[in-house]
Amino acid sequence: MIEIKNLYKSYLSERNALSGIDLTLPRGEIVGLFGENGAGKTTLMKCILGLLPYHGEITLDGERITHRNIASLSFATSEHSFFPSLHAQAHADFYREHFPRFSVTRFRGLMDFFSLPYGKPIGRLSTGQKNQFEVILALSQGADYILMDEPFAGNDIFNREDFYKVLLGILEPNETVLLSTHLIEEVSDFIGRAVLIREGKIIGDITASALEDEGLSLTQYIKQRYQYRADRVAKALGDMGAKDCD
Amino acid sequence: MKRTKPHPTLDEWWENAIPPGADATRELRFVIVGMLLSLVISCYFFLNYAASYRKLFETVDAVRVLKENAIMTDFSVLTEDIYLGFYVLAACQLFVAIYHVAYFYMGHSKSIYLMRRLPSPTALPRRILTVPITVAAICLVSVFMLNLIYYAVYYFVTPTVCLP
Repeated sequence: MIEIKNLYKSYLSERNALSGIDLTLPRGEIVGLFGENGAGKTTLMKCILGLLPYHGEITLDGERITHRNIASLSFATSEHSFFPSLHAQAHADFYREHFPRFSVTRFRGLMDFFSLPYGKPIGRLSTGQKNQFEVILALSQGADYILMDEPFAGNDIFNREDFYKVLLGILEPNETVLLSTHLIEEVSDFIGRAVLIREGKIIGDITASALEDEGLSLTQYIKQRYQYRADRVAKALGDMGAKDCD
Repeated sequence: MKRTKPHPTLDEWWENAIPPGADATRELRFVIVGMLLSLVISCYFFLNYAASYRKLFETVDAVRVLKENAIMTDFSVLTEDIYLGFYVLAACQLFVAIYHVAYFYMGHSKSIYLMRRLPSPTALPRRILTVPITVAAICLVSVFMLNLIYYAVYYFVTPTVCLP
């Protein structure tokens, strides 16, 4: 279980990128992390991975996250983290060398599913293929917690939908996915829990079953929590029209 | 029968000592050319030495004889600046290390994220620093060894009476 207690993170340009986050991620959940741009989703993931310094406490099964247990976490990011001049097979070899639980079977299965070439440098693939490869590495690493930050940016809808299905099919019961995305509708049937973050604070945390009990869709819940004003577009257009008449 | 792991070739060793996917051949070529150039520059010692050696003699009745009270130029003067190539190459390793760090941010990918979350805490510094430190060390050892060789030449070739 990943436990985050009282997590604070500040940048020079932003005083409270994360402000007192408390969050628990048990094993075997698929958790959606939602929030507007700059809400703190990426920062939260980078803090969990130890890529950014922070104040507060983040533990993995009761222990601080260090090099000893970091292999239990994998990361797929839209910024990408592969080696652009290496081809797929060389990445597999590199991962196998460093992550003893790297699954060659899963790697090959996903490579075949996406029809990605083994012998071409990853930097020469299309953006969509690069995203796919990034996700393949994260899923094949043998981690218990798979953190995905906007992993499908640039992929077409068919690829994404197929991927959700494959992901549901291959995940082991003890694997946890923390998925940050703006594609709320697409992932709503696929996640078991939704966490909402705004201005560095968690403003909502609800399971799919609780949402069902409340009779709300994920989008409705998010809008409600974000206090989204449905009339704001009409009002803005009205204001602009009035100014033109003046 | 016990199988022993074969020793890696220089190319293989180099590839494992620099960022994954970086151009090992280019880096290796850069170092080899640098070492050869430095070695050639250091051979300037022989020109210095030959010039000083000639000054120890004079020609009397078409016979070359040792000048009276002739003293050979000091060894430190003869070796002045001849190791500059090695020092420059060693200093360049700082830039090689910086390039290795920058490499993890290149090509529209931040492979630094992967390197920093590897279970081995030494993997990242090893890929950044191994080559620069090794090359700098080889440069300094080369300077030491060449200095010994050149001093041996200086000591054994110079007429004993002319040694300072």
